[in-house]
Amino acid sequence: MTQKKIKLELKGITKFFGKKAVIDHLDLKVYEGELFAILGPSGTGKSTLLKIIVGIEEPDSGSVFLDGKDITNLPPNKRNIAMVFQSFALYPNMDVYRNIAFPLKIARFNKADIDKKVRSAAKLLGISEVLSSSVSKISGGQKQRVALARALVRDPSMFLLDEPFSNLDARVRFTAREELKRLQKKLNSTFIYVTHDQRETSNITSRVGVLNDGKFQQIDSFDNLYNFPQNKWVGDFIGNFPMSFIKKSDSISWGFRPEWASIHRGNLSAKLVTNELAGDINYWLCETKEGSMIVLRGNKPREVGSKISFKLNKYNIYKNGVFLKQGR
Amino acid sequence: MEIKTINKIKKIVLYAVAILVAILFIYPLYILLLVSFSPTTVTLDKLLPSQLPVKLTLNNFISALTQYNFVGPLFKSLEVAFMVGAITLAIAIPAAYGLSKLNRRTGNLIMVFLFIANLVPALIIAIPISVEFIKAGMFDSPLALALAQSLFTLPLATFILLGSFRTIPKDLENQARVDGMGLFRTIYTMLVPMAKAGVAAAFLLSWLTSWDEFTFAVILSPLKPTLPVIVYINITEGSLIQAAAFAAVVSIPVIILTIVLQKYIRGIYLTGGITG
Amino acid sequence: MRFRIKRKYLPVLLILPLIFYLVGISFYPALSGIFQSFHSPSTGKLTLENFTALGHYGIISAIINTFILTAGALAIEFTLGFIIATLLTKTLRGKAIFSTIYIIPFGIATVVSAYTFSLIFPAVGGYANSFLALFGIHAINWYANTYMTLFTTMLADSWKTVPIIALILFAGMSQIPPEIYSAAAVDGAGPIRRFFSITLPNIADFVTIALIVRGIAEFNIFALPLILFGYNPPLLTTLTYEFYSTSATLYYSLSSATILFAFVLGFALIVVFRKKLVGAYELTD
Repeated sequence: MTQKKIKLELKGITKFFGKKAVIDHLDLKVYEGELFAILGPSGTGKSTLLKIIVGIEEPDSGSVFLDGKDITNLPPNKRNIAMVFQSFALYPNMDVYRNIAFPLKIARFNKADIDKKVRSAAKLLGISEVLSSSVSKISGGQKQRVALARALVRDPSMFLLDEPFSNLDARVRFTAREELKRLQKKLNSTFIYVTHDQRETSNITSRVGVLNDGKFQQIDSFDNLYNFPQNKWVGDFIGNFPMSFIKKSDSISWGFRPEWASIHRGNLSAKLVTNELAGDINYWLCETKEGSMIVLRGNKPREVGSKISFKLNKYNIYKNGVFLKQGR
Repeated sequence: MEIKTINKIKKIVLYAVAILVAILFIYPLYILLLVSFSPTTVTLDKLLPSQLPVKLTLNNFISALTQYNFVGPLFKSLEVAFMVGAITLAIAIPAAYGLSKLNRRTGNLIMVFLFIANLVPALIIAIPISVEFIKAGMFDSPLALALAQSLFTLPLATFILLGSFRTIPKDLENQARVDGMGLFRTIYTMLVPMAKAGVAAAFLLSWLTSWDEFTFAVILSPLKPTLPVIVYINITEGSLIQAAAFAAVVSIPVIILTIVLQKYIRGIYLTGGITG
Repeated sequence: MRFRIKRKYLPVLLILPLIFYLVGISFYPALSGIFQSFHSPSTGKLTLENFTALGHYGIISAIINTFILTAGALAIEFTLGFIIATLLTKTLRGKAIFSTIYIIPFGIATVVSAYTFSLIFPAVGGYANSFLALFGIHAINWYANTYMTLFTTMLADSWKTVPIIALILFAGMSQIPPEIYSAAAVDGAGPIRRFFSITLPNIADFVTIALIVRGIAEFNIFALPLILFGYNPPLLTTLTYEFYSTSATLYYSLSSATILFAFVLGFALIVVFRKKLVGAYELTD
């Protein structure tokens, strides 16, 4: 990300499903060599956005630029963008080798070239030994690698991955994230992937775009999304708990994370509603005088209904729900 | 103890009814086979023929095969049935694919419209088109009959194929597009093989419908008849025993296909397949 | 820009051949036939004479007979269909064999089934009478009068058609959660009560489909009566065919077919919209 060359740019993309605009005048710039995550709740058009980039769906308005060229009207195979689908979409009637070879066969590569490319992709992804297996006989992790191998044999100019980890066992998921990051580094290529799970973005991406209501609510590093959510919605969506807000006036409120508050002799107070244990940390879900729910962190459960005093070491100031500045 | 007895009686009644109905269903078929394989002296010539086989013979088949032009109608029936299968698939496969791309509501709505086409009585179609076919010199031609019979089979076949295509994950097709596969190649080298059970069922059901069809056949092809029409002609001419042999010949592939296609016969009629 | 338009309308383009086919070979000929039936064969002017002329050829009794046959056949077929569908919902040993036996007649060609029943129910003697004779019952004339003839036809027709009805009803019944029946049994509802207050209302849509599928086919019943008893008593279909194959003009057969089509259409509409027709009464409940 040193030279900051723009790889992909979306300008004013709008897509209607019926009368509803799932994507609404959306803009995005993704830089060369970046591992970019699109994060958002289900049904916010994340997959649709990928399909618009790869060319399977057509936007109702707006343009897609790749390396500065307008590719909006190019069919998917002319765009040279690879996509790995959520279900991995392996062709069930072909074995692993033929799955990986398929895009090359369509592009009329000769047999020797195909073989060379398939074998080197398989080696890169560690699936050389399952090349002759049926795709129904391999594990979820291997399926994903086959799908990745099939994507990269074409030497695509960038990769799109739709929910790459959702079809994997919980145990494989952790290593798969790291592997994806390593692969991206090794190929030094641009990757965009879509997920609904913020844990899948926090430690491997350079930037995360939070998608809701057809627009990016914020595009930033995960740390910034957590610490400086640009609006209340992002604050609620990111983090184990929604951001806590205390109303200061009609337009101004303070937002804070549980760890930004300390629990002794504070100038603020709230009534404990419920205790929640997450791992070895205890959270208190409390209600303030104004009736808003806040989350505080404490060492042990307390009696429900008891009054908790706290003070804020750090907080964000929001004006009409939009980030203004950091307080204190 | 009491409940046990009641349940036992219930069970006995259940089996009795099931067996009785089964016998009623087999009986006509049994009579058909009995008459085809028995000499007329113990069947048609008798006022009250025996329910059980007295003598068995193959002479009825031999006389039907030798005295009548058997090969002509058989080939006509086969030719038309295969044509119907082919026409149906040729039109129904792209249509079903197209419908699977529309949203479910629109797709189903068009499907209903297609089934309405089956609601029009065969007679009111057959009579006007017989005139057209005579003008076009296509009267008695297998193609003309196949075109007409495909009217019955198309909605059904489209519906079966639509169901099969809808079960194929969308991502696979998207992947094929990303990999650069053209539309028709995607349909015919990927989707059709993946939906092969549905394609086979659509073909065989169309084949079966044509093989059995009478109304269009008797109006559009009376001079070079199909097997069902030859059965009818034999009956009207009073050659009942030859009719029995022909009827048995018509029924054998049909019984096999029906057993093979049981699963699909269930599915299709649910949603309104209407045949004459 | 070309790519965009192409892709969007592609599904529609692929469906069009089918639509054209059905319109060209089904709707268009049917409409032109109906159109012609309202025109005079001699002058070409709009007229009802083709229809009024049918009065001399027994069109009224053909209509009445068609109605009796349709109603009677549906009654018999639904009764048997419910019995078989109920059997199929029970746990039976050898159920696969039973259900195969119950479905086989579906595939038998109408002509073959008609022929077979002409052996079972011939004008004199035959297998049904020989069976009755085993119990000392006198031979029955299956075609003694119009009603007897129609009744015989209903019996013969139900063999081939009950399987379809049974399968549709069975599909409906197997969608009813068994707990509902258990609950009703606990509430003390007997089997007949359960049938009318649970089974029937829950499979209403399936009954509609079966009614349409079979009812329309019953109006169109053709090969079976033609082979069993010929043109007398007349039905709408056999009368149409008689005009087609014997008279010098197609117009009578067309107008007769038009009447048949009108009844089929009317029947289908009544079945589909019967809920709305009945709805007015249900509201006052």
